[in-house]
Amino acid sequence: MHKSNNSRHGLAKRHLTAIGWLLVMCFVASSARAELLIRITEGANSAIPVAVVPFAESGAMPAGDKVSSIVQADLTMSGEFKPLDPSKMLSLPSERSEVYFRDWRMLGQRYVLVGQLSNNGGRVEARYELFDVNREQRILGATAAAPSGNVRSLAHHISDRVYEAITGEPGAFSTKLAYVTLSGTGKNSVYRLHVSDIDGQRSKVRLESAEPILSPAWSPDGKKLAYVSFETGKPVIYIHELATGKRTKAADFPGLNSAPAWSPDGQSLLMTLSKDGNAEVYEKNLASGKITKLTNHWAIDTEAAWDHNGKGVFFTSDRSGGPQIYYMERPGAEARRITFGSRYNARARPDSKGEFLYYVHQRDRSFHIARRNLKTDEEFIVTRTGTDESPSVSPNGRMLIYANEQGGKGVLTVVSADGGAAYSLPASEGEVREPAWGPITR
Amino acid sequence: MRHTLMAAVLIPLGFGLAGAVFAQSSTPAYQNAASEAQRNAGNSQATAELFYMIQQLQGDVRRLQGKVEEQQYEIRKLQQQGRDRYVDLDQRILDLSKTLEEKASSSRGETGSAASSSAKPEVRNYRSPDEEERKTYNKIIDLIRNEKAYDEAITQLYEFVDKYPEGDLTVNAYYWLGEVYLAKPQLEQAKQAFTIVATRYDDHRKAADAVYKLGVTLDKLGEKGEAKRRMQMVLDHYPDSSAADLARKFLGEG
Repeated sequence: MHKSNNSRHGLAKRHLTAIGWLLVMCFVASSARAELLIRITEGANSAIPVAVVPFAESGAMPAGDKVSSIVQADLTMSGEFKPLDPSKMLSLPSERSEVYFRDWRMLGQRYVLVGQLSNNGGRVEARYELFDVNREQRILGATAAAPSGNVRSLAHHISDRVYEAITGEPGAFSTKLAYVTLSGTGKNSVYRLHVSDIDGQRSKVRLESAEPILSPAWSPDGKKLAYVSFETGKPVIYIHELATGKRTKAADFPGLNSAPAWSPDGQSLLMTLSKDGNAEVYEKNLASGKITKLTNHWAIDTEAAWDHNGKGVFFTSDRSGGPQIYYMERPGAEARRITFGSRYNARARPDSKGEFLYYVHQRDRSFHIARRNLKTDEEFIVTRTGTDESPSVSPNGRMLIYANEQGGKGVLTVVSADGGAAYSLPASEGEVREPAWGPITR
Repeated sequence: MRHTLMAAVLIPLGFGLAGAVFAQSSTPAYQNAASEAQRNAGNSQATAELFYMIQQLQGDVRRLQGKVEEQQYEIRKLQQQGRDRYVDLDQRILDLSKTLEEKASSSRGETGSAASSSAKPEVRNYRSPDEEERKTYNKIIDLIRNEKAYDEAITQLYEFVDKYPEGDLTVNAYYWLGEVYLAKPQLEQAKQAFTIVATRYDDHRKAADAVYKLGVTLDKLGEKGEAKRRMQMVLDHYPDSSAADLARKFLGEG
């Protein structure tokens, strides 16, 4: 009795904090045109306090979200920062001479971001400075500009720079997400392939189909998507150029054509084909069209992904009974099993440094995303939800997006790679699944 | 290898089966069409059976492959653990023999001095440094405190204790060696340096600090019990030192 009471209390508390975050984030949610809504469910305890002072403005500014609000939302979303509520600020400086470090220290802030915006003939220009409060030093000062219709890009760019100045890792706020939504049921179901900002804003439908769309994968330059579409009644792998909308078939063999994954140099595509009778992993050279078989086993071999430097290949195989993750040091080399201790480990995704491997892992009756340290072999369960699938790592390795179910509906959830912070991206209607985190493009 | 093995098992099995089927339906060819159909039915039944057997074998091979992989993994882990344990044990034996040696040499020293003086730990007279020695020493301390050039400082500290052994500042040098290693942090080395001061020069004015820092180092190494013992030692042996205050604070917090 007592125990269940306790957990209920804990749950209520969690809901309360969630509502708190909702309030903080309501300005993001308010623009409901977007397909995805953002809901921050958990903040990390070790978050760094940072004050994002509303930027001073001169000249007419485009209506809608403020640059500094978007920066603040970005930093909150990463889970690594705890921005100060602007209503608690003692002053609103916009340049160095107005910053009184003593005040910010009193407010417990480690960093202060100030800036000015001006409208220069249809372009919004930002001058911004980041200060370390303890050392009373400026650690970043820069200018950036964007067309006035594009202040979100400007804000995400500033977030990236601030993130990098503080953590030393490149920020991933300017990167894109690809995902598939499903609305309607049965004959009326519509699958849509979207590309959006990582906060779910500015989503655009790239493909609409009555048949399933699966496994979107970004090319390393962020200009193309490979995916599987059933629009012709069978699975076919397409490559879709985002700028032009031009589509080419990358694989249309009898049987299975699935699980495309780009090589880090963008020259080839890994895929699972069953053209020779059994599901095996193949590599297709995109320039020459040459197809090479990488695995050869009567069990199912699928879901291949290159390791971080494009030398070895991870893939899932059920050659030992259940799905497990294997690694070939080079294509065609002997496969070594990587995952142990569970009957189900699948869909491996390495981070960009070769440090960790993320995959779907079954524990008891539920499915989680697990992270394995490839050097020490330590396994860590990153996610706390129980129906988790399709992990995709952010290009800086700090965050992870995956699909799971909430209230019987598919949503996307983003967590920090150490499991600390989380926000979810439910669709405004229907379900959303198959997320793919795009690369950093400069 | 596994494949050829499997093929070797399967082929005779297949032939055996087919042979049996042929034997069963070995009716003369001139018989009517019904027997032809019968033979076909027999054939397809044999194929189905063969298919079933292959499936069963594949299942078995899968299970065995899983077992082999898991056992390989266990073996690898055990080997790793074995190596780790050996290194750990080796380190402990090394530490033990060192403390034994130190005990032996210090008891020899004690018996020697016991004849000449009273009970309390004797205060040795350390050789006071000449001007050049002091200058070198100050330079090293400057390296540590101001330039934070730890690696360079470590090299120079070793050179210093080599060149000026058994002096007053030699003990200080050992102590600072510990501090630098602690800051790096290379805890094993820090532990060794502090142990030298704490045991070999336990009457030196740096000894109290060294025992305290040894406690801190052990604490960082995760040897909480040992750390507490050192802190207590500071209180027992050097109750009036400033290190004793720090040790008290440590124990209070712990």
